[in-house]
Amino acid sequence: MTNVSSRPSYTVRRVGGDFRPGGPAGPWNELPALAVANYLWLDNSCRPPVAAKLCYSGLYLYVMFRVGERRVRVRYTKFQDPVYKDSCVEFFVDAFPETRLGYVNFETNAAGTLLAAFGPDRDHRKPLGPEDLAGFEVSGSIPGPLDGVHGAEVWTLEYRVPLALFRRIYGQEVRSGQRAAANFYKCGDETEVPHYGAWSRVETPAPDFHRPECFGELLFG
Amino acid sequence: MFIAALLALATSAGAEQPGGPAKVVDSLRRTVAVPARAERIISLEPEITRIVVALGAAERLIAVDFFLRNHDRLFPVVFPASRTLPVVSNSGQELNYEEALLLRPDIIFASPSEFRAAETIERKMRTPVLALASMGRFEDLLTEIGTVGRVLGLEERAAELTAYFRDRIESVRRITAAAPEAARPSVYLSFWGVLERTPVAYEPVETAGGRNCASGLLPAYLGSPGTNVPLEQLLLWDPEIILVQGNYPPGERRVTVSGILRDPRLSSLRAVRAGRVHYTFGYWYWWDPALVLVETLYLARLISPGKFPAFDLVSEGDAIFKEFYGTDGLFGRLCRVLECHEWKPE
Amino acid sequence: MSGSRNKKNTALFALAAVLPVILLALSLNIGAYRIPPKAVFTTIVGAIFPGGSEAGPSPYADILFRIRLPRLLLALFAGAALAVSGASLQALFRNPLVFEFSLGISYGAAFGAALSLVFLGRRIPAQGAAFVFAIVAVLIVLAVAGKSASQIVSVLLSGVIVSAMFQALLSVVEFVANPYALQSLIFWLMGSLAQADWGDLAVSLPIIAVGVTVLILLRWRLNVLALGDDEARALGVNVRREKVVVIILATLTAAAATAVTGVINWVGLIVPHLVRMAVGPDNRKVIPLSAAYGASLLLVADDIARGAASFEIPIGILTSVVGIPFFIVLLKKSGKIWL
Repeated sequence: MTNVSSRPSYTVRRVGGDFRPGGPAGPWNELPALAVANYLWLDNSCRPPVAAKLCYSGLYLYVMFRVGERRVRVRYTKFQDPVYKDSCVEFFVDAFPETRLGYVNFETNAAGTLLAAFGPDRDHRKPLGPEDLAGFEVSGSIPGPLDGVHGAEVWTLEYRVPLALFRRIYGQEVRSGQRAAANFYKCGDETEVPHYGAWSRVETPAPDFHRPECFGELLFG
Repeated sequence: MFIAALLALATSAGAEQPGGPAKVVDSLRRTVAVPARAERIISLEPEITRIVVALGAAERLIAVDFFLRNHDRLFPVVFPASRTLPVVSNSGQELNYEEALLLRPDIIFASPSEFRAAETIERKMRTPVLALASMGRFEDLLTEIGTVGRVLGLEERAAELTAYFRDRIESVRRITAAAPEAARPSVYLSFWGVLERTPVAYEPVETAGGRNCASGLLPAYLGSPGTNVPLEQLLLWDPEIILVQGNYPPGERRVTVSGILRDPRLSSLRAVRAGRVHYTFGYWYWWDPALVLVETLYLARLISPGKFPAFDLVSEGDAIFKEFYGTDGLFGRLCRVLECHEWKPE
Repeated sequence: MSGSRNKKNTALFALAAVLPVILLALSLNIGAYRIPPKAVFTTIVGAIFPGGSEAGPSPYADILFRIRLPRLLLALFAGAALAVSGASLQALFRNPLVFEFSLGISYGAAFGAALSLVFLGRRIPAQGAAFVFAIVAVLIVLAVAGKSASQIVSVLLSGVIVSAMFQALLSVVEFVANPYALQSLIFWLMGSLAQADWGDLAVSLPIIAVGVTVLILLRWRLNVLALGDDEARALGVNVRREKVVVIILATLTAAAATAVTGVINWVGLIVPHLVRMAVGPDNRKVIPLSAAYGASLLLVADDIARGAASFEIPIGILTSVVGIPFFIVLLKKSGKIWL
């Protein structure tokens, strides 16, 4: 059993109003960042630094990634494509761990193509449908398929997840004080140099992001 | 009508109204009522202070200014007792009013180049203030000597000095006046430690047979003797002689003869190519009347060498200084400080 | 809509590439000594491709190569240095009101020049002393800010204190200076490109070139640092070290310029803001464009300083006359300034 006190923690601040991902009104400048800095399993020098920030309102959970990657691969453009093969950032969250119902994984490539599913572990996952994700919105700095330099040192991805999704899955409202479990990952199975990064360390000998026992803590403020 | 007559008489410098307080017009064209005989003098204008000493009224000086106490090497020699006098100004030549009020001066001399100094002092001290400086012209210097003589009641001594000065100047002018304007060598003066700063009037040059390149230009402001010219203007003038102010110790000079001779920007100038770049005395907070006379003789030999026989500058200088200040060897002492024994004219 | 913005950006970059060159060519024709444009051209061509008949050194060649060209090159390089330094510091501190003046560079340099002009005479030239003390000022600022040198407020406060200290020391030097040294000093403090000669440029220009180039290369890092310390750290940046590096580069660059030109304020403030108003806050564009337009602005200001009247207007006064109202407008609008 992993030692809970060694797990990282992040406070998800509540914002007053809603905003569109990628728009000018985002509160990101005032929010603290967490780092995806634990590069695991592969002994190569590919460790693109990733900063992530979260906040929430009455209606949405907002997630923002900034990735220090000059060269990216984006091939997949359809919902539920295997985006983990592209330059990809992932957000796995169990909003109510005490229910033991499982976690949602949001996997997005640099262009914002989404793969999302819900389940208790790697082998028992149910893909989310478009109706589950009504209201989901994504915006990124890379507009479409690409293989190579994108013209900057850093690419950005922002999305908002309707809190109604968690209400439907867990039957409860996300409220201030709620302690969720989550992890953030960076990967790119078919990029020039494959890599696996995590916010909270995953203590397994082989690459496996589906380890809820290694999740860190999100505290909704 | 009485006032109109007063005003009419006061339109030229040094005018006097018989039977009443004298009215004097100063260098800033202010008309000032001065006492018949001033006994307690404060001078913030070193040129005037030197004239007061030359007139033999040094004991009437009740204070000395910051510049003469701290930066002038000649004055403590000319008037050693000045070391015991209180200093009544700061480095900006601003008057210390409380100290000055305690001293109860009859008259205060100020420099016209210090902005609004004369009006401010007069308003605060309710004492006559005269702003006087010769601005590079002999006639103004001589008028000044006359004015100060009148104010001090020493007209005779003033007349004596004036006559001596005129006589020496005329002896030079007689020889150089014959040359037509076009034949006079053009002279550029670099004063005040900056190559591009030059006086718009400096009569010793004209008297010595030269032609000041900058004469005719407007000064930077009323009361200032000089202006700044762009370097290209200097190249346009292409002077035949360049004179660098040397009236302060060699270690402090920023513009030097060797610097000008080595400056690649100036290499095309006639003066540089012919090696006719020399030191002269110039101002040291306006003129010393004895020194400017020596300077004129020195420049005459420098600018018009064929017309003047060789002479011993130090001996001549000592004699002139003795005439003004009554002490031997003063010019020789100044020369040692300025190292102007190296300035032998050709 | 993004297409027209791209076109505007391209146009600005294209202009930035050619404007300094065009202005340089025009400025060679400005000066008290009237040289016909054709003579300017032939003299320059003749110097680049010698071999034509020459009647000995002409005054045209002296004026163009000894007086105008060093001065114009100094204007270009100093303008670029001050603008890039200001832009970098504003991005680093995420504060639109920061420029080289805020870190004590200006007063440090002024004090160094004062020491040289008043006490050291020709033993140590004013330029060298100004450079050294500008660096000293910034090092003191960093030392006073201490461990919190990555905190914006600490560094700016330290900058204010150190500036005040050097200002006071400068007043002491002015107090004891003899009148002529004082005049030289005041002349220097007002800022002037008139003293430019190849000897000074040989030292300053390489430093400026290296500083400006490296700061342009670091423009990515400035974007990351501008995201905030947290995020920058999360993105793998050693925030404290990078900030110190940028501060030192900006200081060296601005100090190398100030040492030769005297105090020319406001260029480091005005130019980056004008550029941001045109292209936005992305430092990938702001830093290189600031270099080009800073160079152009100072060149135009110098043309006015030496060509508008028969006497020389100190260039620091010109830039102040433009810069101070601009600063006031900026202060009032600073809620809308983004970095």
